[in-house]
Amino acid sequence: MQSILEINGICRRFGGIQAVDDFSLDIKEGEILGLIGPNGAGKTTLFNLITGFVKPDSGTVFFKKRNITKLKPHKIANMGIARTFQQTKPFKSMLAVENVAVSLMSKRAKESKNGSDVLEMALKALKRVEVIPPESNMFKLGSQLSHGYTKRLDIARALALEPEILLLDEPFGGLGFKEMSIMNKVIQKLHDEGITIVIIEHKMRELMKLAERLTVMHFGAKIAEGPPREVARNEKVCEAYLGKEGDNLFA
Amino acid sequence: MRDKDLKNAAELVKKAWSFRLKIFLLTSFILALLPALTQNYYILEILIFANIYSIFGASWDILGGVTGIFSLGQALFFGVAAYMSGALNLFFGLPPWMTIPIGGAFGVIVGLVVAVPSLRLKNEYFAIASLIFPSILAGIIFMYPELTGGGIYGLAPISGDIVVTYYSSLLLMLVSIYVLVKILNSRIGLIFRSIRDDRETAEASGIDTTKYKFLAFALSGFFAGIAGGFQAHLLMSVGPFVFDPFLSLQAMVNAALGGMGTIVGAIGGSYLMSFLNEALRSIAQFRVFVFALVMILVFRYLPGGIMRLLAKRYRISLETWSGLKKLRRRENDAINP
Repeated sequence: MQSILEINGICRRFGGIQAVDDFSLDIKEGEILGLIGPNGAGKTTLFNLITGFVKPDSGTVFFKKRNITKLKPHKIANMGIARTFQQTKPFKSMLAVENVAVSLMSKRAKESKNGSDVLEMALKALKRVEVIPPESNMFKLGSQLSHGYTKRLDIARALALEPEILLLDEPFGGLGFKEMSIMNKVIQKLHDEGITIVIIEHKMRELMKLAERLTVMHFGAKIAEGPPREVARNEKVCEAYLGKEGDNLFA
Repeated sequence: MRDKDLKNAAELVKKAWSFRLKIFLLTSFILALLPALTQNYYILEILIFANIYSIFGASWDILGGVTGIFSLGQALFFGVAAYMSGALNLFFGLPPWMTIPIGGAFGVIVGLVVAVPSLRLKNEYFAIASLIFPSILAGIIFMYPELTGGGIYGLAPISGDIVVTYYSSLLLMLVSIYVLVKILNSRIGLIFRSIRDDRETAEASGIDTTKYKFLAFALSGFFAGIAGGFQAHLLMSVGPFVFDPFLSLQAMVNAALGGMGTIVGAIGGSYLMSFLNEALRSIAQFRVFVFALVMILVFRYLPGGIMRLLAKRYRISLETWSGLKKLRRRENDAINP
């Protein structure tokens, strides 16, 4: 498989903390890549670095052989890299359908729509992530939708950009049992449509069902990479999550 | 697209749009008829000021209420435009119908200049910074009276006839509000609102928020400028009072009382406040106090302003994106093909 996004030796420091430390990663076209690591490992910072919300101190990001390291977030979004946020941030005073319509006003969406109707497209995006049905959801405000729906609304907003890569930051965070299975189905469907997906997640059981490959971060650096089963047995990974054997954890 | 929920929603949208249109037409009608009821110079003058401050309030609203960039120094645009209109009239002899839009253009320029620090400052800090800009200009005028002339006197009036002046102000107000509401309902308005709600999400949605912030400042500057230019000709003079913080406060109170982010609310807020202002003339020293009190009460008990109160009373949605209008049309087509 061809790589679609290449991250080379990217670094970012916040004050005294090296949030991302010489991190490199190849994302292959069409795969579902899981990005895991303990809290504070630098996963979300990595997303921010890819999408331009945070500028790297050094290192490069290439998207389809084009250097996107120094570009602004909206430019990167318009190239086809869409993201969601860990703390979902819908447009609270706007209707669900308007939330999605904002993405449809972007340059990329306008080019790809060739005359089709904005409302129609917004509805389609909401249906793709199962915010609709029920139809009444499209007229709920961003602030009125339940947590599970806003998580998927965020994905619908990202999907409206017709992205080639979708970066999902903890899509399962705070979801109930039923909502998790819907989310799982939605992500699987998007994968089948050929969208490259990167997922940050702590809920390992859900991630294991989806991810074809896992990358593990710890203190901003990569400590393991490979098929999920192998990574789960990796010594360093166990250490990062549980501490070293013989540590005086219970002393 | 056939679904009961969808049908109900379409019905709601339909109701909201026709309600809004009715209110607009009714307001225009009543205001247009007012001079037939009274030709009292004093009352008409109050109404003229109410019209000017409707535009001024709406200009604040497009920036503060719709886009979420709180400016506490709206008088800056108003004042610069007033001075420019005055100077163009006095020194170059341009008539008011030319100096007022040119004043608006200067408002745009000032708006674009002020937009630059707003990109670097968080909203709260920008609000504080914006409070200072008009004071700086007023200070310069006070410091170099020989250069700035302090005030400018003897401008051409809008018209010698108060009724004509009233109708000019009304026309200007209705056109300005109409244009701003059109913008609010368009895709530009949708993007402005998204920036207010969450700038990062808007940016992640592929929206160039910097560009749209500049646009919001330009629009705000233009309409504040028009109001400033009109007032300069109305009073036939301009002085440093056009940079008064109280003036900035007035723009904000008008918009907030009417309903922030609704644009049309500024009309209601401005008319109410104009009459209140007149009623308080005998106790002018308490005026700021009363304004502040109104502000506190509005924020505490009526955060959505008059417009949102009406919306609740008549159960209509105030959501304004015109994309929804299509839904109504399509539903109508589905019912009567």
